[in-house]
Amino acid sequence: MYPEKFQYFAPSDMASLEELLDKYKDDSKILAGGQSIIPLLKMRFTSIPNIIDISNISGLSFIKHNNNLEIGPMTRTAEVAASNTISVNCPLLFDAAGKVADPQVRNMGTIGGDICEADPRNDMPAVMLALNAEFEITNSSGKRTLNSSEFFKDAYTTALDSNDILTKISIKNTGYHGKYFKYTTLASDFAVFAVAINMKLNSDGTVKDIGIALTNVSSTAVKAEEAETYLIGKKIDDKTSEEAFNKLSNIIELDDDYNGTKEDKEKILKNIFVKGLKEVYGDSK
Amino acid sequence: MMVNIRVNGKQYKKDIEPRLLLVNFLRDELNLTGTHIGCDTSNCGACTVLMDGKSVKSCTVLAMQANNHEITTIEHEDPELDAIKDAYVEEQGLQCGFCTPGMIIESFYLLKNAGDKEVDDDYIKKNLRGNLCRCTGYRSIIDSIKKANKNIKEREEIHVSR
Repeated sequence: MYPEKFQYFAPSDMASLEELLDKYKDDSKILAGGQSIIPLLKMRFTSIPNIIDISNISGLSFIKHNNNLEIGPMTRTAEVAASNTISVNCPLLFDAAGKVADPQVRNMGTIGGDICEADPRNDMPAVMLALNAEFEITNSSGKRTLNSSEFFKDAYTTALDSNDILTKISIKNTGYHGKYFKYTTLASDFAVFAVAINMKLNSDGTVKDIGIALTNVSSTAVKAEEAETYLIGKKIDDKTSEEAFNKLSNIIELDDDYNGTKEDKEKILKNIFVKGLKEVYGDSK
Repeated sequence: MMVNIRVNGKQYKKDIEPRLLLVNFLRDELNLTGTHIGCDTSNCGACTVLMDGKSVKSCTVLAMQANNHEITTIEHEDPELDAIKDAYVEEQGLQCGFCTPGMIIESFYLLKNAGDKEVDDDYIKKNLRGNLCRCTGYRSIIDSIKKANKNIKEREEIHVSR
């Protein structure tokens, strides 16, 4: 399968990238690893007249930890999944990165691409929401910072303008316990749905801070804000975790599809959610 | 557009359309047809090649993305790769053979990157997740990789003792 024809650019510095984006605007798209966009182009679900490959721009691939954890958007998912810095400071991200697709896709795919493509089945959007991550956005007029909670708008749609570039991912909530509970069928590595949980406890065993977000239960990744608020200050057990699940009803929209009926999927999701909360709580103690 | 891609140690310079996929570059431009096109949707892994030593699905990489990079395919001449091919024959790690080039390249990659990890069923299954085989049921593939690992290790020991 071939994509429709396009012009290809591979700028070697940020200034040329900004220039190209300003010139082509909505008729262009940034290519990072290409693991989401190339299949869409090949199947002709979309066509983009100008593809701008950013892999030749240096300084976009890094993993640093000072007070915050900082990750460059061109960092390959496999590098995130193998990073000791991330494993120590951000177990949720470490766990989730290792569960993205398969080794070949992780070798090519990038964390920034996963976020900016915002496929509802992509894993990183929910992980970023659970981590309360912040994104540094750059364009020709300057830089600004966006919180992940205001970033994901709809399927394949983010708060990025056509000339914006994600240049840094910052995570303040490090030193938490966390895991990514991903439910897949054998035939595909995309999540049927998944739950990202990031948690920190008080010394008395109650929840001090918690981030919960879900993949593929709606047209975009969603943050379970009501459930988070409910759980703060509480201990997690069967009762509180089931009650937290009930708080999701406003944000999940499951339908019958080839993965199962709505009822079956709800049952499985509840099971994963409740077990996941208890597991991360157990790890945190 | 011009691309410079090093494939199996040989440098190629070609004028291509930007939309050309790496797998088509290898098969149609270089006539290296060992790399197969399976599902063509990034699922099956039949098109797996190494780019700078890391396994990727060449149906989901533009040839332009491989510009100035090094590609290794099933045609690469390397004693370790040969040992893996032999092990697939010895353990019958294939039936129809369509997925085999991708399986062998991913086996090559996972063995090279095992480090201190033991090459057991768990390690192999985890790292072979991106490769589908619809014939063997995978048992004989896993056995082939274990056999290859053993053969490579033994050969290294012989080299050392000599």
